[in-house]
Amino acid sequence: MRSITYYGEPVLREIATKVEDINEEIVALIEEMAVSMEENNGIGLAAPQVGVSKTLFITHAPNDKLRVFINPEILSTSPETCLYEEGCLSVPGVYGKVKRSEKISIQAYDQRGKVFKLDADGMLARVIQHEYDHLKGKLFIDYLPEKKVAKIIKKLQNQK
Amino acid sequence: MNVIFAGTPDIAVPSLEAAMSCANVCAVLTNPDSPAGRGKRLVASPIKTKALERGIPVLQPEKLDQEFRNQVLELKPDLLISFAYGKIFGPKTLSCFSFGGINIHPSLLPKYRGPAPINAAILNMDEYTGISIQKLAEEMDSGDILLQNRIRLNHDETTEVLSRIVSFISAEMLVEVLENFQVLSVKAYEQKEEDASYCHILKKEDGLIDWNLSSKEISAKIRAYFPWPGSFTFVDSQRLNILAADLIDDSQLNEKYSSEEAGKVLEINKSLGIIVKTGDSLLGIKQLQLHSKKVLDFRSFSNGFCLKDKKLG
Ligand SMILES: [Zn+2]
Repeated sequence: MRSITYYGEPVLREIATKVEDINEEIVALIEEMAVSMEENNGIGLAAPQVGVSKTLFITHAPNDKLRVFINPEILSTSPETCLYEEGCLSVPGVYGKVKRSEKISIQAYDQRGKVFKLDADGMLARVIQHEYDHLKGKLFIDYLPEKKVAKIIKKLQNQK
Repeated sequence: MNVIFAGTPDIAVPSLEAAMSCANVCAVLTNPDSPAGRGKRLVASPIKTKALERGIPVLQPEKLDQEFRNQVLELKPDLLISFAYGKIFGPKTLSCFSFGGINIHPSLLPKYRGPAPINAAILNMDEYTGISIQKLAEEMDSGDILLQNRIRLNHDETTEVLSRIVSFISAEMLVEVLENFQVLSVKAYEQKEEDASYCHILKKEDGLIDWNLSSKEISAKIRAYFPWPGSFTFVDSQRLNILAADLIDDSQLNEKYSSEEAGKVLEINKSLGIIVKTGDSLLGIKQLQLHSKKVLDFRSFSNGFCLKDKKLG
């Protein structure tokens, strides 16, 4: 199991670099991330959230299996959007409504090194977009109104 | 790889298509056409329909006997893939396949061996269920596991909805197994016998609702038994089928009715449904059906039949 990196740690703001080789080390990282995600009741976890700045994330949305996305590319997003409350294991105790595309199409490699394409909607589409943002150094709170973010940051600093 | 795909209901159709995408499906094995509807016309299984549409030969033996095995041997198959076929394969049949057989079972084996694992996971309000692809063994659902994935449950899904989800995830997993068959065969691991549990064929009478249970338990049962065998209760000794009901998360309302008797219909609420007292709180019936009448939403139902103050059970 890997420990979660929290808001304020620079790795969460870095742009992650490509996984060059899907080797044993990466497979072990994925397995440890899966344990961390399930232990914390998360439905998605990106590598930067365990301190590894690599383009890789996993999801386990409701009514779905565990999915691994290595070097993902979002191919298309639907113009239809929806608003839904999100949270993040790296920003504990904070929730806020974020507008995301209802449907997306994504291409990535799985842990066996096979490329796949996936069309997702519902909760899975939302989780994928949230995790994909982590790889670009972006957090869901960046979408919230400035006033709310200021409050959140104050609260998070007090927690420390 | 030459494979024979054995399956019968809808849940197996995406897996048949998945098998066709990465192997040579030389025949499909499915149950004989069964009588259905008022006219008792013989109806082909969803798997047979799909196979004919894709031009694959269909085998529908009554018995898996020597005559059947001779037919199979002529096809020189490497692998048998089974998913909700409806018959058990003996060692003589399995030996017709050079790599034996594999089976898709929608549970986290060794949990819920047997015929109704999806219903069981919903009924027991499990946090996760899953899908296992196992080697076909002589004892039912006791084969070595090639691949297993967990599915996170939301606790609002019915068996109908979860079966559809399972059908698609199974298809993805089957592709993974077929593409990595040699590696996964070698790595296949034994089930822990001491953790085994079993589920049984559901019967119509299993659907009787006990209003003394908690709202969550009753909701789980209604979802687990939808659409088959269905859940029911009685009102004035008439059978009343309950097709959908929601939990009521309203502490004031729960407080107000806390001393009422389980099974009593308390009010017809415009948004919450027909409110019934349960063993621990309240439940809002949303869809129901009086014996041999039409299925109705609670509003239309209440126009013709007032359940208020009746005692169900
Ligand atoms: Zn996050």
